[in-house]
Amino acid sequence: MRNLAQRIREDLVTYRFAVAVIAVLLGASAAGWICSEVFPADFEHRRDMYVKLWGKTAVWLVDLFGLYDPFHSFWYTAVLALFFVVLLLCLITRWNRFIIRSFRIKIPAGTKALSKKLPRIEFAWSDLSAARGGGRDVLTHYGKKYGRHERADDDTMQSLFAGVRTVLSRKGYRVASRDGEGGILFSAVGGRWRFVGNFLFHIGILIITVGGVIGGIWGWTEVLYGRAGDLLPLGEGSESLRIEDFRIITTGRLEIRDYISRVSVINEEGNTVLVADIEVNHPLHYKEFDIHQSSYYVDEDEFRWARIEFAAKGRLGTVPLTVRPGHEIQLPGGDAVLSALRFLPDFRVGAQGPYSASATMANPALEIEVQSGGAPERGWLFLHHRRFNSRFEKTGSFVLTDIEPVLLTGLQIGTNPGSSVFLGGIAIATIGLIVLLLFNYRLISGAVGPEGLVIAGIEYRWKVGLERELGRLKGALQDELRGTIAGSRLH
Amino acid sequence: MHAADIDFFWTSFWCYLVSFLAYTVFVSLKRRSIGIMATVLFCVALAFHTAGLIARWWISTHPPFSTMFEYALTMSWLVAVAFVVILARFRRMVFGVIITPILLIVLVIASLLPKEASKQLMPALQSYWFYIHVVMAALAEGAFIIAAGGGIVYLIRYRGGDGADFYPSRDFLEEFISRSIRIGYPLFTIGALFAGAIWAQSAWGSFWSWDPKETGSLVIWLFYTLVLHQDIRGKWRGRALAVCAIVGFVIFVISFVGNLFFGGLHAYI
Repeated sequence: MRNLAQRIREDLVTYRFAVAVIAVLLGASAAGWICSEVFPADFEHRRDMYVKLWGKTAVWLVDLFGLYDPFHSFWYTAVLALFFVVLLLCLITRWNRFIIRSFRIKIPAGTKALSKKLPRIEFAWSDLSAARGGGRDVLTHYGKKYGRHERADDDTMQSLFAGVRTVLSRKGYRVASRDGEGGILFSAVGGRWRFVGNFLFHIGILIITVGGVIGGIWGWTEVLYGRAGDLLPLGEGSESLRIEDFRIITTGRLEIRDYISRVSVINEEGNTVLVADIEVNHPLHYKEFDIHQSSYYVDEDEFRWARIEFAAKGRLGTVPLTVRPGHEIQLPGGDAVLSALRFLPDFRVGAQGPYSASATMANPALEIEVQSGGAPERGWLFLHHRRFNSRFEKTGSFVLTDIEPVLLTGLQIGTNPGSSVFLGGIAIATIGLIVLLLFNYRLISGAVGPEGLVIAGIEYRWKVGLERELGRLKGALQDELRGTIAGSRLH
Repeated sequence: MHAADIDFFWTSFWCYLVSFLAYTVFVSLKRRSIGIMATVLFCVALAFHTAGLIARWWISTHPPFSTMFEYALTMSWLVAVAFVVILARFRRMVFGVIITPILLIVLVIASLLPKEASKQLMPALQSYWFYIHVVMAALAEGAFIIAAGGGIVYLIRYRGGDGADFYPSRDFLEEFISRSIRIGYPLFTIGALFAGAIWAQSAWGSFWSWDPKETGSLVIWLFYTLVLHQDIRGKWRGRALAVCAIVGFVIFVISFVGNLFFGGLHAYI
């Protein structure tokens, strides 16, 4: 058992494997993206038609791999599950590395750890002392030439290290040190919170995935349509939602500003529990239900009134008329009678004759009938395209100026038990990302010795950046330590 | 007044185009004076671009990113501003020869989109999440575009040949690309994905709908996640990183214009 755990840790929870899984998820998502555009969404319902178009084998393959709905297919679910498992295992097995790197500073065992291959800064106290006067110090120069080193005593070394610590702290480093090898060994770390940020971001992604899975399994949504006065069921319980009103608010230029449904929640006794307006972006949260303004619907043949301008044949001027469904109107100046026959919110003509192409007021048209003795005259009046209006030879001309359809509101009722988890994950991941963005991790180690200072850059994302950072540090350290050297004596 | 914004945008387009030509001559002849002239032209183009956005904001009475046309112009404006900042910081006019054609590509795409200014935001866009989502996504995508520009310069530098030393060093370019991606990635994650998901839940009742734009964003995010992980591992550095930055830009363009062909919940113009 232990061997298995160890093998999983060694083979499955490697950085390389995690990267491979991300690559596979990327490939699967890209494939799904393409499939969802290539294979039509109506595939399931028109399988026979596609068999004729593509052949049996192609349809069988599309069916087998669920290519018409790739993001709910078994292969994409399997890739997501693999991603989830690897992320979980990575976090379980590596959490301590993140935390340790954030809080513990490892001091080098000795000066040998400060490899010459690493970018480094190095200077002798004597150089600093010599540079103080601005010119070459004759004693120091010849002392070096003949192998004599000027050394700082313990007290001076402590003062110099205090200066090093001050400079590093000022630059945002946290310093840890210990005495060793006749000097002071130290490490300094900057931006260490980056690892906490990294950890939080990964945890956040994991929690978001969990929230998504919970919502996917136990959540549901349903869009229900209704007109004012209709009762819509609220889940499987005994409570219901009564639509009091639905309005589409438009601007003067007929641009839609808002959709508003006024609803009442009715309990099992038939009492109104609450009344609320539901708008787009302002859903109603009631108990575990989220109720959103989703869409609206205009039914064929349902309208409240239509306004028509009537110009009688051979007469000047027009007469406004208001037509209501099921009612007849006597036309002025004669015995002709007008009635509405059909209303289509989005008029089109197909093989079977006129029909409504959608449930929106895209091309409203009203069919009217005029009876004036003999055979009745029938024709269509269009709200937006008046030049296509039918002609009525016996009575005159009609123009449809306005029509009020009966609107059915579309309310999306649903529940998502994973939403709090999902939002929690987003919050944690966001904090992690902000920390990641703000902190730049860098680790340097060094030694303050009797003869001088050496600092090596251990870790930084970018080699040139590290060299630059060390260059800046060198300048700041020399400026700071010159004062200490000036007040001390080298032996 | 209603055409003023479009006039400004067209003027800025021509100025960017002339600036690009001037930068090309600058790179060919390596004459500093021509580079300075190209930069001045670029700044003039940016001024017109800014004026166009202000005019658009004035006309539509809301910030100019409610349509794809406006979004493309705002994003390209951010890229242009970022270029001026980079220019001021690093004094590398050679980036102009890369940034200007990318800007021109985005502006050409924008010119093909419907340009009508609507004073009324559609109901789904009337939310403060709209500003958070779109602004952060534009900033992130601007950073990815700049990374792609750096990638192209790197590849030119990598090929060497005459005048390769004229370009910034490879180390500098590598860090430039990496840093651009590392700035863009958190902004994209928080702005495009997280803020978008929260807003989608509020407006449409679902955090995620596998809409083409959402899927495109997921692909972009996974791609840069992969690039960053490889970068941390010490892989895909140098030339590979440059190629990745350019591939990322191509994926972004497909995702950006995709909803024109694919439809979906983001299919408003």
